[in-house]
This record gives sequence, C-alpha cells and structure tokens, in this order.
Amino acid sequence: MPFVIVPTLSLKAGLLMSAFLAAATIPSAVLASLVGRKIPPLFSLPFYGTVSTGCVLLLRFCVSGQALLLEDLGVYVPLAAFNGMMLELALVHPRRRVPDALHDAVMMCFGFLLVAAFLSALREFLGSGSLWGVPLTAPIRIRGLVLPFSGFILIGFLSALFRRVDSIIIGRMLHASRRTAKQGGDAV
Amino acid sequence: MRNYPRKGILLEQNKEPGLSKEIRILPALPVERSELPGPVSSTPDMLAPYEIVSIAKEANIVDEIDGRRLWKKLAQAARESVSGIVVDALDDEPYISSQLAPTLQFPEQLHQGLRLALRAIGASKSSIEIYRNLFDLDTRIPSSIMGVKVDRISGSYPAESYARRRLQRNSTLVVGACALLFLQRAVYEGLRQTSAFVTVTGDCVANPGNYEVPLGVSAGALLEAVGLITDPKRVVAGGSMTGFSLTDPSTVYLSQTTRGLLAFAEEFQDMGYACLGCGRCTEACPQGLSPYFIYKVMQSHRKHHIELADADLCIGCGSCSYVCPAKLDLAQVMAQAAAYTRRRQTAGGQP
Amino acid sequence: MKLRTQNPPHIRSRESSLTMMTDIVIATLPLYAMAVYYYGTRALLLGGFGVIVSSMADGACQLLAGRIPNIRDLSGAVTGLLIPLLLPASASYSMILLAALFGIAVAKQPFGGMGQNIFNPAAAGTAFAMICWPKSAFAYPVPFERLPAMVDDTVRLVSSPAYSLSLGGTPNIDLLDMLLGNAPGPMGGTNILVLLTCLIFLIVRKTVGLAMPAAFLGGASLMALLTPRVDAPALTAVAYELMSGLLVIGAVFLINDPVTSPKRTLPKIFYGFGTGALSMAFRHIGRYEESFLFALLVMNATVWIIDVWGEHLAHAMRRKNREFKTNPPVSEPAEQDVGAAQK
Repeated sequence: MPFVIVPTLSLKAGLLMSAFLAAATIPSAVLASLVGRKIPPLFSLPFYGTVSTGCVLLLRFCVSGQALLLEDLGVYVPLAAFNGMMLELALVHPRRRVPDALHDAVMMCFGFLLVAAFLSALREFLGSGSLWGVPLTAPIRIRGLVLPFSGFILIGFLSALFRRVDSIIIGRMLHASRRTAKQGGDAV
Repeated sequence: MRNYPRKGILLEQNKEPGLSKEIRILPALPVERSELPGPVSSTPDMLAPYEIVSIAKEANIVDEIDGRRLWKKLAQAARESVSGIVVDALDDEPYISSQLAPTLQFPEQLHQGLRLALRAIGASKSSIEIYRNLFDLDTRIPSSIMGVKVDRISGSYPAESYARRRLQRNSTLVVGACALLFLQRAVYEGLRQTSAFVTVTGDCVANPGNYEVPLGVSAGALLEAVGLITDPKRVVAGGSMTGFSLTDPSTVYLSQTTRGLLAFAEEFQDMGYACLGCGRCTEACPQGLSPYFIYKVMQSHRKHHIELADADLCIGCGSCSYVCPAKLDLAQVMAQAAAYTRRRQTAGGQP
Repeated sequence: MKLRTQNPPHIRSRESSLTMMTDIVIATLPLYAMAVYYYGTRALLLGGFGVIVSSMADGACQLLAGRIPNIRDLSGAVTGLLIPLLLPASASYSMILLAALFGIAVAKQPFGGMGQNIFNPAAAGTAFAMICWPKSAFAYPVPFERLPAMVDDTVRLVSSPAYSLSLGGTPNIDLLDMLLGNAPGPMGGTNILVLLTCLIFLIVRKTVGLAMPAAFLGGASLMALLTPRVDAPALTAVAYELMSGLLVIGAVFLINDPVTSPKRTLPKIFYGFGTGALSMAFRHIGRYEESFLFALLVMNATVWIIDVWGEHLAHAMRRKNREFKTNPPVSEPAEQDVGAAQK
C-alpha cells in the first residue's frame, strides 16, 4: 500500500510507479511459469529478485531523462524491484501455465495502475493545482493532500465509497433477481 | 463524627415535609392487632435474654435494614458476644425518612426497645446513628435521645452502607430503629409486628409523610389512601437511589424492608446522549472504580481488561448513574460487569 | 396510571451533556466579543459559519452512518466555535470550511462520533488547515484595524510574536499588551486575561477540573524555563512563550475536552504535563511557529494507554484495601425486597 500512496503525488509519478511495478512483476511471473519448476526452492528468491531488479534497472535506464520524476519516486524504485506482489506471484506460478500467469500479473498491475492513476490525479489536481504538469484551477486547493497521511486518509474514504457503490449494485442485482423470480411464478 | 467515604456524591436530602409530620395510621388501611399468646410480662426489665429472643421470634419481627429476622440477629450477636448495639437511623437516601421519623417521634419506646436488645445480647454500649448532612429540617435532631448518644455520621452518599460495614467489622450489632420499636411493642404490649413504617412522598403525593402501614398492603392501595394530586409518571418502591420502579402498583405488596414509596410526576428525558468520557462517574465512585472504563470495556468485544477493573467491588449505590451527564444507566452496566467478573472468577477457580 | 419504568437510581443530577456543552459555548462568547472589539464583525461571521458547517457535517455524517442525527448535544457547535478562534481573524472562509470538514468528517465521525473520537476535532481540523495554508494560517491582522467581510489584499497582515520567538528574537510587543490581547495572533489566542477568566468560570462551574490545565501550563513553563528561545530573563522568556501562540487557549478548551483526555487524576496530570512539554519541544524543532496542535494530537493518541496505566495503578492500590471493600451488603436487602414484595 505505501507504493500507491507515498510516491503518487502527481499523475506522471503515479503512472511511472505502476510502470516500474509492472516491469518488476510481469517478467518474473512469466518466467516463473516457464521455468519455475526447475529451480530449487533455495534459489528461487534470489533468482526472481535478480530478474525483477534487472527489468527495473532497464526501465530506469530508459526513463533516465526524467530526473525530477525519478527523484519524486525516490526509494520506491528499488523497493518495487522486490515487492510483495512479485514474490507471491513468482512463488505460486510455477504450478500454472504461461497464459494464466501472464493474465494474473497483468491484471494485478492493471489494478494498481487504475488506483494509482485515480489517486495521483486527485492529489495532483486538488493538491498541486495541476494535471499532468499543466496548471489548472481547481475549485478548492487543498495543499495538505500531497502529504502521505492525507493519502492514507483518502484511500480509506475512497475504499469506503467503492464499497458503498458495490453494495448498492449488489443490492440492485438482488432486487432484480427477486423480482424476476416472483414474476416467473415460482413459489418464493 | 466519623466521615465516610471520601468520594461518593452529595445529595439534596429532601426529607421535609415528611420528616416533621406526625406518623399516622391511615384510616383506609388500619393496622391489625395480633396479640401474642401468653400474658404480657409485668416486669419487662427483668426478662431473661432467652425470653426476649423468644418473644422476638414469636412476634415475627424483621429488621428493616437487611430483611433478617430480629431474633436471629440477637441470638447470633449473643453467641458472638458483641460489644454493643448501634441503632441505624441513618437514612442517607433522599426522600426517605422512615427510620429517622420514628426515632424522633417515639424516643421513649425506642429507648425501651434498645434496653431490651442490650439485655438480650448481654452488652452495654449503645449509640444511635443519624446522618449529618441534613439541612433544611423543621425539627432539630438532638444530641442524645433518652440518654443514648446520637452519632452524626457525616460523608457523602452512600454513607449508610459504609457505616454498616465498618461497624460489622468492629463487632457491633447494627439494628434498625423500627425493629427496636416493634420489639418494645412485642414485650410491653404483647403485639406481633403487623405493620411497617413507610415514607410516602414525591411531587404527586397529596399528603407526603411517614405512615405506619399494615404489611401486605399493595402499593397502589397505599398511594390511593395517601392521596395523589396528579397521575404520577414514575412510582418507585424502596429508596430513591436503590429502589425499583413499578409498572403496576396494585400488584406490588409492601414488606418490612420497603422503606419508601415515591411517586414522581416527571421522568428523565431520553435525549439519547452518548458517553462523553467526562469522567464524573470515576470521580463519584465511592469504591474507587472507574465506571467509564468498565462501560467501554463491556461495550467492546475484547474484555481482557475487565480483571483489572475490579467490577466485583461494586456495591450498587448508583452514584455513577446519578452524576452521569449523558444519563446513561451506568449502575446496570456495573451490575452486569460485576456478575461477569464473578462468573469469570468462579470459572477460573480463583477465590 | 401509565407508568414508566426506569432503572435505579431514580433521581439524577441536574447536569447533562447539554449543560456542559452550553457552558463551553458560553465560555467562548467573551472571546468572540473581544475579537469583535479588535477586528470587527468578521469574527462573528467566521464563528457563525464555523458553527453551521460543523453542525451540518456532524448531522450528515451521522445520517451516512445510519443513525438519527443528534446535534442537540452541541458538540459540533463547540467544534465550529473553536476553529475560528485558533486561526487568524483574516482566515478565509474556505480555510474554516476545510478545517471544520476535516475535523468532523475525518477526525471525529469515522472513529465513532461523539464520545468515541480519539482526536480532538477542533485541533485536528485546525492542524490540517495549517498544513494546507502554511502562509495564511500564520499571517495575522493588526488589532484595532477593522476587517471587511471578505479579506482581500488591502488588509495588512503581520507576523505574530510566536514567529519572532521561533527565530530566536524577543518580540517587540509589551508583555502587558500581550496579556490584554493587543497583539497580532490567533483570534481567540491573544486575549490571555479573558482566557484565564473563562478558565476560572469553567472550573467554578465544575465543567473542567484544575488538574489538567495546571499540569499543562506547568509542563510548558518548565520546558520554557529549561530551554528558553530568547535572550531575556528567565521569567520573561517563560511569559513570552506562554502568551504567544495557542498555549493558553489550548489550556482552556482543547486539553480539557472530556472525550480525549484521561479520567483519573494522576493520568490527567501526566497527560497535561506531557502535552505541555511536548508542545514546547515541538516549538524548538517544528517547522511552524506554533506546533501545539500537533503535540496535542500526538498525546491524544496515547490517552487510552494512559487510562489503562491509571487503571493498573488504581487496581494495585485497591488490592491493599480489598479486604475492607468486599462483601457488599446492599445486594441482600434488594433481593429480599423483591421476593417479599411481589407475593
């Protein structure tokens, strides 16, 4: 969770963070499903760590022009190389097929991307008054949003909001199914 | 002047107008005379202790402070050779004066009863305990009644339960004032106890005061006989702090230990406040417990702090509920916590 | 007769949550009167706005939580009255709005609402406003200059004595002026004399006790004495430290909040002393000129554990007297009564 909160101060930073995470996770997951069974358990952790670190370094080299952004992300770049998602996938996926592993990793990273994008857009728009570096005027400017603690509070409220939306949707689905059941004339 | 306890709450006593009015028997509820078999002794002062105890047993006298039979208390005190008797006329609960009024209005009979009780247990020291924090009274409380010293007990509510326990530790027998009056009637006039002294008061009552009512009369009948100005919203049998409120007074019968019957016109408004965390309950608790802490722990589902809260020390005085600004029912929560703690103790095998 | 049953005791004290909160509201009125005297009617507008926003936020959050909104206990109104007093009189309405919303909707209601909140909502809201507007929250208008309802650039804003102290210099305002409130500072925080009177009023009415404010001011004074920031005689330095910033208004209103403070006396003294010492320490190392609110929030988080320590202490002291306090006799007559009466 710190990955999604602390470095995501601007939209660009959020997207870059998800890119780093994807670079760390997806290749390791695919490699795990390809050759995972052949690696003894003692060496699996260092092996996957090396693979993901290599990919992260590669990506970092590609974006080394964006020095400011990288400074924003700071310590989370190397942390992403050894993140928990990657390890969990890598240790689980030797038992699965490649498309499954790929699908899993891509979906996880996509989920992270969505949350990071939304959160960082919100924080940048309301907190710094810009979006993707373009200065915009927000209705209210809450400078405190760029602080990590506001990020945690914001995540809490957003997850509460999504849970509420979820329960409304589920409620409507239940309602609809009950109605169709009644109309179907079954004994309900 | 003994002062107990340091904490507790200061209550407005509201004993008038009931205290200074003469104790009457209501014409609608006459007291039945039930005579003891056998002749009345002409020399009551020369009766042997066992004779006094057997008369008390025949007369069925119940001590109003704890509901035990007087003869059992006297017999036990004689066996344990206590040093003296203290007459309990404390009445530290507001509105109730059913021990104090007979003490002040029948001093001679009280003195005779006290002498009989002293003979019965073979002791010589005696005193009468009366609460000190009684202001705005129309009668003056004397410093000695028929030669027996009157001890004024000062301190906040609940002074009576503390006084009683302290005296029991000092091997003194504590007897209610009304029980001694009935003892005197039994020995000098040969009558069984067929009545009790009850304070009937409250803002709905037409003639507030102390009455001698026959045993077994219903609360509803008593209220009708005394007279009500308006329909009450709450009727309480017992003390104002520790009594219980009635839904149907006509089905509740008064006993020797019902010291009061109160009828109030107003009820507490149920504003639905939540606990403020103000801590007044903790300041008021005479046992030094923290009802706030116990309330929070009992509300949560993790009760592992309950042992250090010592809820089983609660004496049920109700001071916590009294002072609570949020009008919570803390006394009930404390009772639940006390029961819970005791269950856990017995389950855990601790004494 | 239609009777209502209630649990004993059947008489209750006349104090209620409403009277306690009303006392605190009354205690803030002289501060608003002084603010109007110094800064004009904008002070009243800010106060009213704060009350409306806080009460509405309170009610809305309770509705969201599925409860019937109960704002009669005035706790939202108290938060709304306190927030403008902690900010400058030139604070914008959006600052008050955000502070009130944060205080109620983030720091109070999600933790359980009235009686269950861990953090003082006024302190949390104002702290957030200070973070979001680090320049405007510490730029104060000059006393006796009337402020318009909407503050624009024509209003002269100066720094307060607290700023001078944070730089290590003696403020160039007379101590007497600071005592009377004739100094730039938070709207309610400058009138030290009026604040002390309010404190005495609340103590006499028994809404608050003496232990916590005294321990708090004592702790702050001790730290100020030991680590002065200015090059002045010791007592003068302490006086400057105490009278600048939010310490005295914190001692009157914020630290005495019954929900967020311990319940027994010794824990109260510990909490007050700790908050005072911590706020002075924060003044040395903090980024803002006034960090009392942050110190208060940190100590608020520790209150439950202080309470548990207090219970441990009370438990240890009770164990010595346990022999006297067991065998409660009061339960017996009640049982007998019920059995005998309901024949």
